[in-house]
Amino acid sequence: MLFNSTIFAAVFLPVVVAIYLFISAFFSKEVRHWWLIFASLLFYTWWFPPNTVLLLCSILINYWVGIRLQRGTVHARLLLVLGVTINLGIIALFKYSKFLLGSFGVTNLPVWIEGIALPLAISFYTFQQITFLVDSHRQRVKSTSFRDYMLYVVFFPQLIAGPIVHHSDVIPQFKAQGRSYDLRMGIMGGCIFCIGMAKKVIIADGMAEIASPVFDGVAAGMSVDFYQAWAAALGYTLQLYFDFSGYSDMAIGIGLIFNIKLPQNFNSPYKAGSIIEFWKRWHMTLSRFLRDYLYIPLGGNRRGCVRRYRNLVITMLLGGLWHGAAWTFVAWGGWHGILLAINHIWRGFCSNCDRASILSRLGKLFGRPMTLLAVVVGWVLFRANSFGAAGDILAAMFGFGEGGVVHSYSDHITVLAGIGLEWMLIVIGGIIVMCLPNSIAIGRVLQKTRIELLSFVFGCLAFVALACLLLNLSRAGASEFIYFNF
Amino acid sequence: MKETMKIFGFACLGFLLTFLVLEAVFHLLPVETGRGRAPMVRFGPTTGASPGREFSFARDWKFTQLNRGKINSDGFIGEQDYPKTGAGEVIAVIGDSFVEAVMIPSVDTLHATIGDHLSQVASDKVVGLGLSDAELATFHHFFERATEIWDLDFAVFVIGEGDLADAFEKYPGRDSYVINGDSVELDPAETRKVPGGLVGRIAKRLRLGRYFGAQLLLTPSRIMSIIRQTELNRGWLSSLFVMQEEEIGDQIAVDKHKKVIEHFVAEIAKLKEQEGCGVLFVVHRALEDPFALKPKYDLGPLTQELVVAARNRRLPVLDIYPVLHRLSVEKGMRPRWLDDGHWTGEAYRAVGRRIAKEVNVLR
Repeated sequence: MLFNSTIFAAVFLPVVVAIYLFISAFFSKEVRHWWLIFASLLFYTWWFPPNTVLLLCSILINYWVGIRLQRGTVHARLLLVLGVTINLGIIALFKYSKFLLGSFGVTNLPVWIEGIALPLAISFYTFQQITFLVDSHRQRVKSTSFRDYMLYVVFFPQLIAGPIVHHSDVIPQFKAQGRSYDLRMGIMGGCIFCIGMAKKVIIADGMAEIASPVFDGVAAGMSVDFYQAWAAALGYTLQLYFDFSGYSDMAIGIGLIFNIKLPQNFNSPYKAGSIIEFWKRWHMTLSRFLRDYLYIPLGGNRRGCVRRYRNLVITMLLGGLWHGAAWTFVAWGGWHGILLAINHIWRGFCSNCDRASILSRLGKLFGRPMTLLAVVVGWVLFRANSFGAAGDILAAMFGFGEGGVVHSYSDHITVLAGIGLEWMLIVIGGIIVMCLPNSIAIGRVLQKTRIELLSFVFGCLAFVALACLLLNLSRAGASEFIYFNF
Repeated sequence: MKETMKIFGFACLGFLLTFLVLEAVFHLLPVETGRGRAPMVRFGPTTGASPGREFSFARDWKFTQLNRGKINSDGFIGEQDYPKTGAGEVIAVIGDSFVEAVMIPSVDTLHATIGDHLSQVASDKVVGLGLSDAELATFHHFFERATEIWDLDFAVFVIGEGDLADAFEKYPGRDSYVINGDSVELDPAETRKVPGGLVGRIAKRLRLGRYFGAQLLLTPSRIMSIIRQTELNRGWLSSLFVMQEEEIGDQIAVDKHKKVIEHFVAEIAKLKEQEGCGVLFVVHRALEDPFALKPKYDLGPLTQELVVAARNRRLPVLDIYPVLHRLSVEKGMRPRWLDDGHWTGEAYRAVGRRIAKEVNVLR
């Protein structure tokens, strides 16, 4: 079930919420939580039942290891290594085995490896559980019941594509939840869910129609011109943001409907004035994970500049690989690692320089456009099916393409027909990204709004969400979120 | 309780207000209004569009394809009503959405262009019996009815690969073929009640209602898309669905459909002999790979079967690929719309002229 599908938004969610409210009124919070666990497992099972077995096994093993670590056994470090290795082993087998063997030139893969399909959400729930193990080892986890742990992992709003929830984000909330239901928070959640739905269905899916034909066409051998390449790159930049932030909004909104606050994942990343700032605003929960569980354990910035930059690049390379089993993702991670290192060098240079104020002003002036340009270039690598395709689009973007001719049998068309409209849509998307308040700001406003007005706003947004569902039906179904593939 | 009711009331108010705003916006924009649904008048009980209704056609929200038109008294797209029963000789162009041509003005449709270029035939005697998502069984049914209604002079069948692949599907309101042992039988559509009621009547009066009604209309291709989407979303169900389109090209699919295709051609040949009218099969590949730089053209295995079956019975076949190819390569014109693979106005006129030339020769 996709959050933007009719079966989810019109059937599953209302039924789960209705039963949740009923349980809230008559039963204890434990029953309410078991209901959420059941609903979450049903939600996950909907895709492919065997994956649920893998998920449950993973939960059982990690909980068992986590509890042992919390008790401080003699071989705690060994147990931690074992637990983390099991998690990484599972993800390596299901996500990276074909990629790794292929990269080492193994062409005739065994049938059982060929048949491996990536279990949905494996990257997300594996990371979550690694944090639990590491923090259990560090004695930073207070005693956790199996019910709370299970709900932390399987809670359906965040299960499939994040936000990557830290146990300290939600387990204390599970424990602290009272019996009463906060209606105001529920309505706010409904509003944010609807905003996320509109972002996904109206904007992200609209942008996909601009970007996908060009990326797919280039992968099939079509040549693109300057305008097409930029339209595709910018279209994808907007598509990815609205797709993923729309998903995150929907997840956060559903969390609020159940009176659970999930962490924010986006804070207007394209407004960032530097790459460092970008990563503080983009996929914030992944950035936090990479910082706390990869960059800092690698040594962080503690052993000199060179080690620091090395750690940054390694972290980002692995962060790129986390997104998908392809070298283009690794290259994308490497690109951002290098940019981060350069950004840190520049900052260091500015702070030590006599003319710091001038450089700082220059940085402010050019920081935002340069950051955006670097990010857009990175997204081309991220989206393209191969280095060749990415190279073709980047070459066309910077004037080294084949002169803007779409030579071919004219069925392929696209040339600049309708490009005016496409650019108009890109500009509108850009204005929304750059000028309008983001979901965090909207949430803050909604928090202070009188409940009558809040419910009125919810009514407005609910109609928009309904229209989005109908629109999805007319497109023969809801489109998948991009991050579902990771 | 009072507080809850107040909150609910405000939410309803917001819902209603947004609805009114969107309704106003939809009045201002040339959005799709749908063509309704009703059993066809003289060609029933196959379900077609609502007779007499005016419609706007808009492909998506890019508005790159815009058209306004009317449904004629028979339930086919067209400003003009077709000749009365027994009104003399008629030439029928039978097919699916390529003949229906909802995305272009009536004057550019195949039957209009053919009518303009046929010698010794009044243009109003050339009728287009096109219905979106129709396939062989419906073509067969239309041909039978046309011979009963008019003194049919000539019939042109416009057939693409998709029309052949769906031959076994029993879609609501549509004709299909059924295999009984060695024989194939035409299973006519059942008379369908068009849903009405108060909600339906209100929805038809609203732009939003008409828009979403049009979007949600369960045409055969949409049903297949929804099944495909369901399969994508729920991988474990994949084994339960037989995806017709994935079967195309597969020898099993060809064998399965061969019998139906041969039966269809045999029935057309039989009726042709009985009525003494002319017949022409116009074949086309629904959509070549739009991104292939040097597209390897072939008609598709099912259409090839049709060509073989027709030639075995000495029925003429016209492949219009060269016309489209010439239009695109030599004249630099785009033969298809970007988004849906149907022909552009220029392509329609070129194909229509070519068919008219062929019909002139054959008559």
